[in-house]
Amino acid sequence: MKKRTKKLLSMLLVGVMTVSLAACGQKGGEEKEGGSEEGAGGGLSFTAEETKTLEDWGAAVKKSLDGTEITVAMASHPSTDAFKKMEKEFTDLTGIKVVWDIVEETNLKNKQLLDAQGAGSYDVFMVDAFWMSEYASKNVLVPISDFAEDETKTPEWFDYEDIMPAYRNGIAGAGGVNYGIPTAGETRFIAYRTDLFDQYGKKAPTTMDEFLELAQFFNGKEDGLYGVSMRAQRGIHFASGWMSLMYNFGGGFLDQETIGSDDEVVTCTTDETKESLKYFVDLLKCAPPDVGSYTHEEALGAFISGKTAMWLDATALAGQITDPESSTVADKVAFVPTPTGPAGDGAALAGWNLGIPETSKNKDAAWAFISYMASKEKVKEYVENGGVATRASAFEDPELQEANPSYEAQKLALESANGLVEKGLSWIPQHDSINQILDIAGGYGSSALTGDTTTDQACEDMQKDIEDLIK
Amino acid sequence: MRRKEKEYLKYIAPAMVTMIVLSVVPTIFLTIISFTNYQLGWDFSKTEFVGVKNFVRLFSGADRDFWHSVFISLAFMVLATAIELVLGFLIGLCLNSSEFKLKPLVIGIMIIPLVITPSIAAQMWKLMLNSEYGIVNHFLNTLFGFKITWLSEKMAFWSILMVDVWQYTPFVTLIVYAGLRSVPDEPYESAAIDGATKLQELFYITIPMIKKLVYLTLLFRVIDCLKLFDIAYVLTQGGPGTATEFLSLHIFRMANAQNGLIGRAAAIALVLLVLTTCISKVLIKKMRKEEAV
Amino acid sequence: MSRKGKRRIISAVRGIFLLLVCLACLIPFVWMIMVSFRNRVDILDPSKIFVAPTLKNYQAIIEESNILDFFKNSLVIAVVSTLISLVVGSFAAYGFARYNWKTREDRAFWVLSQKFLPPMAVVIPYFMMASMAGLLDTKLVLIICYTTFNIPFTIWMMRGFIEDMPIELEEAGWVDGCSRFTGIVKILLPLITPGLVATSIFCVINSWNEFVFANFLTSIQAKTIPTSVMMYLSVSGVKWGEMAATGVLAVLPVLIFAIIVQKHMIRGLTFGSVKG
Repeated sequence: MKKRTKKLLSMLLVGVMTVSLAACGQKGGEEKEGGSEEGAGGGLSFTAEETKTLEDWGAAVKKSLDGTEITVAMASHPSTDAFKKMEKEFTDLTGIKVVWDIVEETNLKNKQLLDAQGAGSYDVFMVDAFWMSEYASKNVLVPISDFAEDETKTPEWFDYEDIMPAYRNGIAGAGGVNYGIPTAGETRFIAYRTDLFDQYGKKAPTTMDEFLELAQFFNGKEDGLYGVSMRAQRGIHFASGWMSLMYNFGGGFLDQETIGSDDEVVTCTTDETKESLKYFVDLLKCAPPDVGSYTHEEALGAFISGKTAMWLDATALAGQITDPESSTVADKVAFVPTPTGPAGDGAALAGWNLGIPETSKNKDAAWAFISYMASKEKVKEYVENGGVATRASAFEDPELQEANPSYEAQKLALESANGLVEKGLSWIPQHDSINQILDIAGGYGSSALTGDTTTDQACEDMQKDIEDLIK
Repeated sequence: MRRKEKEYLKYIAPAMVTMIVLSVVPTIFLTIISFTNYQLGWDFSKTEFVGVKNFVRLFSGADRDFWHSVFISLAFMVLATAIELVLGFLIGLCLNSSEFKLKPLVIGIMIIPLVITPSIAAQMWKLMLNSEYGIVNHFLNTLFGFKITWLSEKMAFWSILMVDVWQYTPFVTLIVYAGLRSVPDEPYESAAIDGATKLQELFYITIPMIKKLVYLTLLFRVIDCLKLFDIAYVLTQGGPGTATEFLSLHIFRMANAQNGLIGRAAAIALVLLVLTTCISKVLIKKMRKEEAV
Repeated sequence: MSRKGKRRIISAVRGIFLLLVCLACLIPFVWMIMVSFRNRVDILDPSKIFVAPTLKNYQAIIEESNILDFFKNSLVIAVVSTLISLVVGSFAAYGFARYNWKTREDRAFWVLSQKFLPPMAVVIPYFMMASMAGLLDTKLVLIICYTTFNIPFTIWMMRGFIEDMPIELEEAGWVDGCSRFTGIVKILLPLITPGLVATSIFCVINSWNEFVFANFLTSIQAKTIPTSVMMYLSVSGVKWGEMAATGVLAVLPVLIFAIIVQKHMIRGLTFGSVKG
């Protein structure tokens, strides 16, 4: 009897596996069919003549895509709120309905990657620049030039070239292929409290040494005042904060020239990298004691509530610093680019893109959405709604400049960011496993911050771990 | 007669088959994955078998958070189970030892933590425990003049323990109470004639009568504590640092999109699976032995 | 001190103890209800206990977050999975209760051990299998998962209920010419209905509140209530009010059901392990 049960079991097992394999094969077939159908079938197609104005374009899109429903997966981010405010006009024009799925950042990536594994429920992804290399290696997104450079799908007023080159080429793709349209860009810069600086007769930092000195000077100078705030939560946040100044020391996680070759070189133990970590940890000693749990969120919170004298983080957040509604220091701040280090400038370049997942079933409607939301035509409305600018025309618009006092400093910061691009370096190394690398580096770095290990030892440890990962 | 002997199969087969298909097959699958370097989003063609490398990494200490996770998971299991059992037993005894009108209401109230969605409940606790604007600290401050940073590195573990105790002690209470209700009166009557004290009654009648049930409760709680995910995930996400990175959260950190190291996560998952299986096996064996006596 | 006085003190202590326990159970729940009616500013200021209530949070979740879709998914998944578990599990429970074979207890404990699979451990293979079968983000995949976890529980609970029913009743039926199956349906079923109700409440609670599978296996079409918490975490801070409102709406139906069937629920919790 027992034997028989076993036999029955094994038969069942085989059965189940066959069924699941069959289902798998079947699905693959279906997908191909679906793909070719879209290629051959009507889809989106128009001429430049037909789309001179928004209304004409809307009518042209409506003809083929009226009633389509697209689902977008976006981060909770000021840009998303701005897009949402523009939804009604888009739907009125094109007849395309939009379903929003807005989630917090770490979860968003989870969702997108899980979805790309088969469910295919989404049509537009909002993608962090940090994820691009990984997504590229996993074929998550469609190369965006398929759409952006196709005149039968893109109206003239979209104007791809208007997007700042640093963003267009720096954060939207990997391996020379662009997968997204940058809609929110950021570099990193310093905000400092003019009232405190005036009071103690200090000048804004221009070198890394001055920056550290100032942080140490202001730390504890007044009751409850700390020197600086930055993001430093264990893992990717710590790594990202560290990267804000790593390149200025000539450090790096990887030798970027070797990426993709058989012999990728990890450079966590070079003197430059070690020095930059030591500097970063020293700097964080001048931050509020719980800085080890700060993301950009808390770092910003500490500065706008007046707890720190300086802040080094994303330009995209500057709006919240100068907004008197959210900030207690709105009228007493000024901005300067990230200070120069021993190895020159290396300002950050990061941000968000809109891209179309391979698994989307409504790619044309998704592109209509992106080309509308991210167009030059709508950029002013987008920025006024609270969106973060990536287009030259936005930075140059006098009204927008007036409303955003940090634009001038942002532009300067962007220029130094372009410097890194010209050196052939990517601020976020374009490695398939970059997120895991950052997680490891940020893990060990964080233990150096808590004093569990020395900075040198942390570098040795992360070197070993990263090598274990990528080799 | 032979036909009759196997008639039970007709009844239990559908359930057994479903369970085998839905739990044994995934387990086999998990084991296979744990020997590969598979990452989230990869084609299977990219995947390679890496032998026992994933396990070596765990046990050799190269994954420096693994042993810590095992340790705090076990510590949590022991502490939470002990507190919940003792507390739940006490409340159950209290409930059983007197009759009063409001009893259904009391039981109704105790059902609340049991049915409330854990992920949302944990969020509410997170709000209540917030050190700046949480209501708990507000009361501590106005009544006793001090505040506790509940979710700090030192306290986070205890905060999670507290929330778990809040949510699951009523479950223990209800089971114990249910057991006590179904204990017949006769043994107590004869004990009363023999002049036994209350305490003696408790140890010589009540506990032996509901022993199997207590074991079952213990089993439920032990394993559930080991599986703990939602409360800790919502309250701390395993942090600050790795202070509350229980095994299931460690798996999550490895497997979620930030890392996507499914192969390594599967190895940890397998360890967790083996751990729960062993512990439940031991407890079940003990329970059946008691029963046989 | 007199015996009576001592007893009075004991019962007073017991009363206070129970009161404290009730308070501890209630406060977070009451706070959740209060938060759900508060404006954002008031939520962050606990010094004001009573404030003018607002319905804004409820309005927001229904109009903006499509919470009703979540509810519909949760409901369908919980009900279908519970029904399947009840049918399949009860028949198995009948087998365990009414037949005796050598390996019966081994099998019974194997069943129990299935309840102990850590979700976090099996969610990875589930995800990959669902991905291959094209079942990700469907209600079906969650129904399958929850059924797996509900069946062992059902078997254990229903076995106790069925064993409590004297077999003579059924035997009388067989004498009257009922088959074993019709005997179950016509004679046993009405008698064990309370047990089925009690079991169903636990199955519903399990499926209604489950987080791990729901979070991993669904993205938008089949999202359930517990995963909605992720929706309320945003850059501009957590939307506490809306989350609390969701929590209140989520807990109410289950709570009411549980309180109504309180008596059966408690009876079921002995798993037939205490023989009266």
